[in-house]
Order: sequence, then C-alpha cells, then structure tokens
Amino acid sequence: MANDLTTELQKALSNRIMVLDGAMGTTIRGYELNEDDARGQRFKENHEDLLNNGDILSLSKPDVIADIHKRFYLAGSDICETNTFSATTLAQSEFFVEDPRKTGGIKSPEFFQSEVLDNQFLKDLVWELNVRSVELAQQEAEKISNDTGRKRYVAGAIGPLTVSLTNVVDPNDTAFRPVTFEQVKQSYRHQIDALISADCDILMVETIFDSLNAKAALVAIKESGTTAPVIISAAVGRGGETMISAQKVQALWHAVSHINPLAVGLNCSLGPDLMKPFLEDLGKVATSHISCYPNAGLPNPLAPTGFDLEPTHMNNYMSDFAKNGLLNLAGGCCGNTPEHIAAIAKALENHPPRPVPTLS
Amino acid sequence: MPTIPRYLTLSGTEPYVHSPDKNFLMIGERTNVAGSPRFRKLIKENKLEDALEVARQQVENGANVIDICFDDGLIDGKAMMARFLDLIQAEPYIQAVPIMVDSSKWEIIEEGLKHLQGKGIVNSISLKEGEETFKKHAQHILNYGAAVVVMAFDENGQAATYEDKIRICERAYNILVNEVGFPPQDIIFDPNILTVATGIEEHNNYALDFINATRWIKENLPYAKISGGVSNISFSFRGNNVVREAMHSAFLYHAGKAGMDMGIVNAGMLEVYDEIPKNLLIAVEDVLLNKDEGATERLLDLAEEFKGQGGKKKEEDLSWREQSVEKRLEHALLKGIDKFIDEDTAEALQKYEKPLTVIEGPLMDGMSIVGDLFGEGKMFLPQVVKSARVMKKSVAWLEPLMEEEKEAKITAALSERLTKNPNENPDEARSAVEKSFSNGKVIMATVKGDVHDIGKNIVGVVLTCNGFDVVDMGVMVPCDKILDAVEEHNADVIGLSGLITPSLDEMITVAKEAEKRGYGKKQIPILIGGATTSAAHTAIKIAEHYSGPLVHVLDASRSVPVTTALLSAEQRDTFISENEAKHEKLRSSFNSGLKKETITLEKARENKVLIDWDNYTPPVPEFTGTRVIKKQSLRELANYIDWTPFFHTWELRGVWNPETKTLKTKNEEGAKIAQELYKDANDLLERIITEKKFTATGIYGFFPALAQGDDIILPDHKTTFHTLRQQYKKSGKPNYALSDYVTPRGGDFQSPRPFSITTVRDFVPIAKKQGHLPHWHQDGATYAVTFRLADSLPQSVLQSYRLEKEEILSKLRDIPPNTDEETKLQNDLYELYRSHIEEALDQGHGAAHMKDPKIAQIVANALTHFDGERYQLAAWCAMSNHVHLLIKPLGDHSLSTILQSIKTYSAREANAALGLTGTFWHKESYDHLIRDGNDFWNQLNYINQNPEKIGLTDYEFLGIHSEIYDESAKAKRPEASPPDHLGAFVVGIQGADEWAAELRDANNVDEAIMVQAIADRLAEAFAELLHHRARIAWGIERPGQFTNTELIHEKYQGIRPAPGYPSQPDHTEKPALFKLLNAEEEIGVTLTESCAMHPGSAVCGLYFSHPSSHYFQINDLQKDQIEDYATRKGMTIEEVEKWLGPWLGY
Repeated sequence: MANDLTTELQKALSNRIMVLDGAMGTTIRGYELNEDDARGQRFKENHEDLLNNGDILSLSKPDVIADIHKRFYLAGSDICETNTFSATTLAQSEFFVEDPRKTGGIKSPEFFQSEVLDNQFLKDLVWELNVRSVELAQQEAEKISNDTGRKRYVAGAIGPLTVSLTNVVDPNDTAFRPVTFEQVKQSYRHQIDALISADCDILMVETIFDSLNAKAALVAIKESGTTAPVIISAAVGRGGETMISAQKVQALWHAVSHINPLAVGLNCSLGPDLMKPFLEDLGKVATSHISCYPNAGLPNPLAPTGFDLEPTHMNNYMSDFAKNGLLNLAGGCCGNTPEHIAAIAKALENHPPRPVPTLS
Repeated sequence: MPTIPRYLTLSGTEPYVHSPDKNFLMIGERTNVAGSPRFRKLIKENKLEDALEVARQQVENGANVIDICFDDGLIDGKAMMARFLDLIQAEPYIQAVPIMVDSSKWEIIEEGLKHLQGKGIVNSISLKEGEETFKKHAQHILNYGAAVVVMAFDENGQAATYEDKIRICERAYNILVNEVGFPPQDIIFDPNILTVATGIEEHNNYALDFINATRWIKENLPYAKISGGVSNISFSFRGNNVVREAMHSAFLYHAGKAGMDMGIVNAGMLEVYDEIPKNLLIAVEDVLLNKDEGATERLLDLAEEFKGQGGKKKEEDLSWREQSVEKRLEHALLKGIDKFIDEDTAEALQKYEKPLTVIEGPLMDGMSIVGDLFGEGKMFLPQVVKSARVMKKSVAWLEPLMEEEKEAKITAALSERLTKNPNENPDEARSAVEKSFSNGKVIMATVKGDVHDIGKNIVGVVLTCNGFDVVDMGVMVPCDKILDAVEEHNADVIGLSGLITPSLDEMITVAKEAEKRGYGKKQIPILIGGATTSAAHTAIKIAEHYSGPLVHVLDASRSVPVTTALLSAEQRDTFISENEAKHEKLRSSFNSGLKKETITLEKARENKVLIDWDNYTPPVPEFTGTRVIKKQSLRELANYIDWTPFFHTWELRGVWNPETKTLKTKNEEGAKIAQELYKDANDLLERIITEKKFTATGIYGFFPALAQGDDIILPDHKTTFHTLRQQYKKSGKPNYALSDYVTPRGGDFQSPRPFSITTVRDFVPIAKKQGHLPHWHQDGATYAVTFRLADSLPQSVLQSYRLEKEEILSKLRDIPPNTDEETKLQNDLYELYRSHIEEALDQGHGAAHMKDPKIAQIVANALTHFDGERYQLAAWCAMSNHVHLLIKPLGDHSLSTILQSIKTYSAREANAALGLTGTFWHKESYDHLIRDGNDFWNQLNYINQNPEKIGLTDYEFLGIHSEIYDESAKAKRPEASPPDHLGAFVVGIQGADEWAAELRDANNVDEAIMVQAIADRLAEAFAELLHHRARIAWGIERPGQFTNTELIHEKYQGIRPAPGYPSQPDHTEKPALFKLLNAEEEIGVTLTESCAMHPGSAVCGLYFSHPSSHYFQINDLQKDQIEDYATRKGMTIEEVEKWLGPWLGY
C-alpha cells in the first residue's frame, strides 16, 4: 500500500512541482485565540500556560485546525502538514512537566527518563495529539480531493525538539548532554508509531536544527519498519549550516541519503532570497526530489503576519526558483498564509520540476 | 536525465566526496589507542583536552578522516567513545571532517554511530561470526547511515592468500549489496596487509597477494573501495624507519596503481616515492613484488646501511645484547642507549661486587672511549651528551649502595696513612685521602645576576663524561655561595659562566674574593667561560686579581683537555706556564696600542649619519601605547626559527639550509649528526607545542619620539633612551649612534576641530549590545567600522578567529564592567580582530567584487551619499573585498541603521550590476568606538594606508575629510608632519627553565639542554615574528611581502637592537624599556640586578623604522664619551665603566 503511495508521489513530483502548505503557527495567530481557548475544558487546570502550545489546539480547538487545513488545500496545497510539530513526549513536557531547574535541579537523562519518557499521561496525550491531528488533516484532504478531483496528501510533521544532542549546555563539561540518543529516538519512535497508526501518508522530519536529533528520528523511522515516504528538511542560517549543529547542507545530504527520501530540502529560518544559494548547493548533490518552504522573509513585528514578504513577493521568488529548475515541492513556512500559498501555487504552475539526478 | 557519479561520500559538518581527483584518502591513525602510545596515555590519564589536540592536529596535518579507537583492556571503550565524540562536537575544527569509528566490539561501534551527526565510516565488520551477525550489523549501519570497512575474514579466519581474499570479499559484497541493500560505493574492503620479509617463505607473497586482490576487487566488485593498515607491511623492519618509510611508500605506490583508495597511515611518516634512494627502492620493490627468493636477504643486508638514519630508535637490533656485560655497557655508552642500563649495571655489580669498582672499571672505560672519540672529532657533542645521560643513570642506580663502601675505603686508607705519619693533623689527612679517591671535583656556577646556563650545562655534561665529579650550582649564584661550596666539596677546579656583560664584572669579584680566601695560593684553577667572555678579557681584566691558574675556556670540547691538564701531575705545570705566556702576550699586544685610531666625541658627533629630515615623513604606526600577546601560538613561532644558532649551541658549525634541511659544513659526519639532532629537536618541539609545555608571551608598543643629541626622548611617556656613538676614526663612513635614526624634531600632528573626541571614561556607561561581534555603541561617538563581502574570509581564518574570540568573550562575561580588566580584554579582542581578520582581508580572498571599479564606485556612492546629513565621514576606503569607515552618526541616526541602509542599497545595486543574487555583504559589521584622539589618528592612518599597504598607490576609492587632509595639494598625507615614533618590545618563553630543571633531576641531561636550546630559539623566533607584525602595524611592510626565510635573513626595513648587544652594549638601558612597557607585570618577564632577563629565554629591544637604519658595533669608547654619558644617565663614571668595561678603549 504505502509503497504504491511512494511510487505515486515519485511520479507526481516528476511531472509537476507539487505544493506544500503554509505556516501553521503564524496562521493560528489570525484566529486571535486566547489562553482559555487553548486550554478548553480539558486542560483548564493545567499549571503551565498552553497558548503557545499550538499542537494542543488539535484537541481544544479542532475546528480551527481543520479550517486552516481546509484553507490551505483550497489555496492549492497538494500536501498539508499535520499539527504535530511538537507532538512528542520530549517537546510536550515543556507544557506539562515542571522544569527541574525551578527547584534547583537540572535537565538530565535521568530527569527525562523518569518524568517524561516513562510518563504515561504524556505518552497517552502525545499519542492522542498525533492521531487526532492526522484525522483532522485527512478529513479535509478527502473532502477537497473529492470536490476537486485532485488527490491531496497528509504529511506527519516531526519537529526538531527543545533539547539537542550536539549542543553544549555546560561549559565546564562540554561532553554533557541533557538527553541521550536512545531517549530522543524513543520519543520520536512513539510519535512515528502514532502517526502511522492513524494512516498518515508521508513522514516529514523537518525544521532540522540539529542533524543528530534528525538522525535519531530517521533511525526511529527505519526501526519502526514503516515504508511510508519520508521528507527531510533542514533549517539553516545565513552561512548555510544547520542552526544548532552547524552542518553544511551537502554534508547533511551525505548523512541522510541512505534513507532514500522522497524529498530533501530546506525550510524556515530564512526568507527565499537568503535560502537560494544553499538550495542550489543541495540540488547539486541530492539524488532525491527537492523541497523548499521558506519563511515569508525576515521577522517584522509591524507586519500583520509578523513577516516581511507579501504574497506577490513570494510569487516572484518562487517562480524564479522554479524557473531555475530548483524545485519539486514548494510551500511556505513561518509567515505564509493561505493567500501566500495561493500565490506560490500560481508561481509554480507553468514550470517543469527539477529533474532528479540518478547515481551512475 | 542528469546523473551524479556514484562516489563514496562522507561528512562531518563539511561534506567529503571521494572523487578521482582526491587520489588517496588519508585516515589519521594518531587518535587510535592501539596506534599511538601517547594518545593511549592521554586517554588513560583522562587528559581529554590534550587528546582532542591530537585529533585537531591530525586534521591540521591533512587527514581526510580521523580514526578513533579505544580498544584497550583498561579503557571503558563504550563510555569513552560517547564522551570523546561529544567533545568533538564542541570543536568546530575537528567535527568538520568525517570520523572513522574503530573497534572490534560491536557495542562500541554502535555507540559511536549514535554520536555522529555526519556520515562516518565503521571499522570494521566481517564474516568472522557468520553470515547472520554480519547481515545484522550491516543493516544497523545502514539504518544510521555510514560507510563500512569489511575485513577479509570469515568463519575460518583471516584471508592470507590471494584466493582467500577475493573469495571472502566477493561473498561479503554479494550479501551486502543483494541481501542487505548496502550502497556498493560505501563498502570498503580491507583485504589484510600482512608483514613481509619475515624469513618465512609463505609470507613472501603477502604484499603481492594484497595488490592482486585489490586489482581483482576493483575490477569485479563495482564501486567497492580498498583500504588497509599500511604499517603492517614493514613490521619486520621495526626500528629502521628509513626502510619502513620506503616500504610504505613503495607499497602505496603499487597498491595505489592497483586501485587502493585509502589507508590508515601516519602521514608524517611517508617517504616520497621518487626520493627513495635508488638501491633501496630496488631492494624494497623486489621484496614487495616477491621478485625472487633472495629478495629478503638483500633488503636485510642493505637495511643495515640505513639503520639509524632519520629513524627514531635502533631498539630492535639487539645483537649487541649477546656480548659480555662490559661490552654491553660500552655499547650503551657509545650509542647513548639507556634502555637496558639498569639491568646491565645490576649485572656488572654482581660481577664486580662493589659499586665503585663498577664505576671505575667498565663505566669509566666506556666513558674514556667516548672522551677519546670526542677529542679526535669522531664523536659529536649531541652524542656525547646522550652518553652522559646513560652514565648518569647508571651512577644513579649505584649511588645508594656506594656511600658506605666509599666511607669504608677512605677509613682504611686514612688509618694506614696515620699509622705511617702519626703527627699529621687528622682532618687534613682525611681531606688529602678523600681527594686521592676523587677524579677531580669541579664546582660550576653561572654567576650572580645571570640566568644563562645552556653552555655551562653542556660543559658539565662533557666533564662528567670524562670522569670528573661536577657540582653544578645552577644560575645566579652569589660569590660567597660559590666559594663556600669550593670549601665544602674540597673542589679541585672552579668553573664560572656568564652570558651578559655585567657577568664579566661579577667574575672579577669572584676572582678577588677567591684570592682573599687563599685559593690562589692553593693554586685552585678558575675556568672562565660563556658567550661574552674572551681570552683577552680574561688575561687583561681578571687575571691580575688572582694568583692561581686562570683559564679561559672557549667551548665545551676545550673544557676536557684543560681540566685534565690542570689536574694531571705531569701536564699541570707546563700547561699553567703556557697559559700564563698566552695571557702575557694578550696583555702586551693590548697595551702596545694595536688599537684603532679614535677621535673625540665632538668630532664623532660631527660625523653622525646625515638624513634629510626636512623631506622625510616618518611612518605613523596604527596605534600608540602597547599591545600584549598573552599566548602566542608556538606552532606559528616554529616557522620562524632560525636553526643555525641552534647547531652552534651544539658546537656544530655551519649554516642550516631550511629548504633542504641540511647543515652546510665541510664536516660530512657533522652534517649527518646535525640531521639527527634536527629530527630530535623537532620531535621535542612537537611535544612542546602539543603538550603546551611553554607559554610564549610578548608585549610591544610605539611611542612618539624625537632625537636630542645622542638621546632619544619620548615626551609623552617621560622616558629617555641613551645611545652610544662609535669613536674610532672612519674614512667615508659615519660614526653611528642609534639616535641618528630618529627625527630630531617633534611632530605637529593634532586632531582637527570638526571632530571633538570624547574619551570613553568621561561618558555615560557604554551599552553593550548582543550579537556575534561585540558592539559598543555610545551616543555622539565616533566609530571605526569595517564590513566585508560575504565570501571575503576563508573558513580556516574565521574558525581560528572565532575560537580565540570565544575564549576572550567568555572571560569578558565573567568580569565586572567598567574595570581596567574589561578594557584590557576589549583591547585584546581588538588586537585579535586586527591580526586575524584585517590581515586576512588584505589578502583579497573571495570574489573581491570591488576590484571592479564599477562596483567600487557603487559602494563609494553609497558610503558618501548621506555624508554631512545623517553622519559625518572622517575617512572611508573601499578595498577589493571590504570597506573601512571612520564615521560619526549625526542627530537621531544610529550607527546600525546607517550601516544597514548603506549595505542594503549598495548590495542591491552591486548585485544588479553583477547579475547576481544572494548575499553580497557579510551580515556582521565590526565597529570600534574611538576612545581618544590617539585612537582616532591611529584609525585614520590605518584607513589611509590600507591601499598602499597592499601596493595600491593613488587609490581612487579612498576619501579623507577635507578639513583633515589638504585637498588642494592632492597629497594623501596630512599637511602637518606627524611625529616620529620609537618602538619597544619584550618577549619571553615561560616554562622552559622549570622543565629543564625537572629533566636534569631525572638525569635526562640531554633533553634538558635540548629544552633550553629550543626555548632560546623560540624566543628569538618570537622577536622576529613580533618585529614583522610591528613593521606591518607601522606601515613599512606589507603582509606576505617576505618569506619566512627572507625574514630570518633580515631583508626588511628597520632594526630591533637590544640593549647589551653591539649597537648599544649598555644593559642598564633595559630598566627604562621594561618600565615603559610595564613588561614585568604584563608578561612576567623580569630583570635581575645585572639586567639579565628572567626567564632566560627572552629577548627585548627597541624598534627603529628609518629605511637607512642598520646594526653596527660600538667599541673603543673614549673617556670623554663615558663622562658625557655618565652625566646624561645620572650615573657615576665608575658605574658606567663597570657596566661598559669590555667596550672601553682606554
């Protein structure tokens, strides 16, 4: 089944540039939700604020999430990402487990094991978040597929976590890490199992700040035995290096090429202009499809979405990228509303996708 | 359909592609506990920082991949693998390269994979434990994403023959590719490199089997790679590095032709194939390619010739171990091998029963052969020193057993003597008896006020070798202590040493006091030695104060015959009278006026150096005041070492050629020894660098100066340097004094009105902004700003800069604001920036878009567009890849918005003109808040001189504010003349003296001397390097204008004379220099009462910039100048005469 889906998507991506969705987080802002909305009845008593926990809205405000998916599909997205960017035990622990540093402790592998990874409440909650989020997206995808006669897909978003396997946190012991590779892998594996159990079409390891975290997610995917197609997308800074682990894009490709991903690409952190040279670097070596969903420029507190570029700007940049044969799959990250996606979809329409090189 | 070649790809943070142009992939082996004893030791002792340094060095030495292995029974391999790889993640330089996780334990390999963000190599898996395990491991590796080394092993063991190798590799390949789905380009076979020339016939074809297997695999198993541990091949020649290196490179040559892709090698240990001596190459290739049955024999025979050459140890030729114990001791002494000395000494003791008999018997016999060979010039000092080390170790072993025996012997002799002469005073009798048992005791010391002792240490060692009992009292020994020791030890000879001039005077004091104590009457000889001593000075100035024998000893090799003669009943008298005759001759020739004709000081001054000062504009340094270098990189210094004087220390005369690494000398044997010595020195140097044994600190500065008569005055710093003038009559040439090279008038160079400069301290506290670079900003202030093109700096420069910067920043975070310390650290940051970034920028790295005048014009327009409106520009300059501004924001405009607007506008325009998109400017700008007027002018000059510094004259894209520069004259120089400057510096190498003392205590006398000799070289190298930097800062030299060799040969403009040396022989100028720089406090180099520097390896001096300045020699000073000089310095004439004794001409 899933293998057929891989073939189907491979084919589609070789025929035309497919369209991803836009930003979940910054689009939610448009609904002007408040803390009570985020908590709903269910989490009314939670001791931490939940407004910044976008993933929880899949449970407390499912209609908003569904509406956002719908708007993106209507704007032309072929693939929407589930609202599961932080739906892992490790990331959700920020909202449900007391930070040990408040009481003089530290975040350590022992803390994460006993308070987070073995925390049944969290595990159940995260499972539910993933399953429910896939359902919300699938419902909309089905509806629009039926209405328009064009098949839409759901990609399970697997985000970067709030802990890092490479980052030094203690200058006195630069080998100390708050969490182990096994723990990161375990946390991702739990999310992956939930996404797959809910029939998610694609797994998307994205906004990679730390290549070793990403590697743990990829090993978890391998070990889960799923054959679902995988998209890998890194967030790089102005030097073209992953934001935390400072890996160059080509080095990253070498480290993940064994996955044979459906696509590899860049997202977040930069606007399209600054992203271009690194996308070109990646395109020179990657033997998979290339995806790209940049931010709508740089943050600008005065703009309504909080970001600089308007739909027409994104249209210009993405049609330039497409014209240069850089793309197989494109959308937008932070600051990209359904209007932006519509403009991007338009930009991609008449350009052929990047031909995928083969190894010879 | 586009294609990408199926190459092996790897990564750290940087990608690596093994494309055909890469040739051979070098895998560094030094971070493998099995391959490097040093690394194993560091790991066992948990010195992980040093262990990281080993990794860093390998990357620096060109390893494409580093092999990391902790397979050792005493190391928790799994935990260490995790920890070490996590540590590497914090090291940008190391984590750039791919890593080979090396272990025979699967759990360690898997742990390693969990700590690699890039794509590494697993070393290794094999079919040893059967197909199932093999597949499982391969699948795991594939899950993580890594290449894999597969050993040619199967269930039956290691493949030795060609047939087995290819059979197993083919089987492994098929399983990996067809069953596991492993990418074939990621499979690396190691078909086992096995040792040849073992004498066992079956082994003869091992090299050929590997080469043939390699060829077969490359032809039949598509994309597979070949690797191997190369040093195995030559194991039977352990100890003979010449042969081993030749075997390695010949093997790699042939295996490489057959398709070998990579190898685990010590890159530093590879001979260049073409440079292998022809006869050796033939013999080696005969063995490797198994040409005939006699090949091994022939190579073994030939190998003898190369034994010991450049090789590290000869430990494996142990045939000498089969000889008698006496012969073994002799061999050990002659060859300087201390490995077996304890056991041999023990065996000798068993045979001879008494320790003293061992010493006087076989040990002294051996040493006398050493002494003879040395005397005949058949052995060289470095070898003799090694012999001494062995001797010392042997004696140290015997010592505890000896005292008792000696005492018994003396008691017996004493009672016999007293029986014969019952009237003799028992004390005197005892002392006479003791003496008769001694070979001669020498008290040696470096005199008070002086710290130099390499030469003295060498003499000590040589004398010890020749059987003398040496009591070394160390350095800075007061007169009383030396003389007390003579009494205490009942010494036969006194040896005095000193390097600096005041020591000569101290030696006179010792001679006078020794006379007072009656040593002269007792005819106890005093030996005089050291760099400033001379036979003439000894004869003329010292001898008159001592009635005993007083002998000048030129060098260590002379010390033996002199001491032997003085202590031999037969030779003694003849020697003393000959010595006396020599002194007399020296004295009479001195007095009979064989002196040069001299002139009065007045006349000499009239004949000073003539310089047309009116038409001379002195260069202005980019800063005034001082800069401190707290930790100079020793590796950088190593490149600046002038080795010739190093060999002179070891009495090997000649000139070192750094290109061919040979000593040019007529003495062939000496040249050979020099090469060995050079190798030892470099091994030690490497150790010093990696283990951070030394710290090199330095300080230098520039100060406005003017000449006044023969003095140089620093008006702003209330300091005067006094110089001395040549006084002998010259024809056509001036009578030089250093003051001649400084402008005799002050400058009139002041800041112009429009820029009123407010100093930081008078102002509100400075707000620090967070960013990648520190920004200090302050309202109404003036800034020096640099920004650059996005690609203008190579990664290597940035990385080293970031690392060092981070170190300073982390210190900065820990200290309170607005303190002196903070200011200092900020200056350090600035210095770091200047030396790392700006120098690198001037190399014009990257696309350098502004080389195109069109683009430079766009940038210039953007820079000047709002000048006078939003900001005021004092100066600006657009170089090929960077821009400098001296800028003062006006009104509400903040520096950051001004810069942003300039950069955004110019980037857009430039990109449009170039047809480019993407990042034009690097996002950061470096800004520096102007502290005071001096700072302002330094920055202004830096900008003004930047184009000229890299050889661009009349540069178009440079602007200076019209009220500062005279536009009508179109001159790029200020209208007013700047003041001349004098520079000063002190550098020192810390840690050498202490380490040398430790080594001496452990009887490692040879290493102790080596340590000091290298420290001296490093101090000199530092002085040379710092002078180079100072000249650049002074604008009289461009970066990269000279090669290191040219720098060593002083081909540049300007000089750095040191007080106490020929151009200004007066050491008492040092205190002023040290005070000016605050050197004692800043860098911990201190002065003794004789103005010797401590630590001993230190250099100080003044900098002169004038193009005609050069070194000269002062001597034959006349009374009129001494009187004048004493008045100028505020010293008495007697004092001056004392300090300048050797240079007086009256």
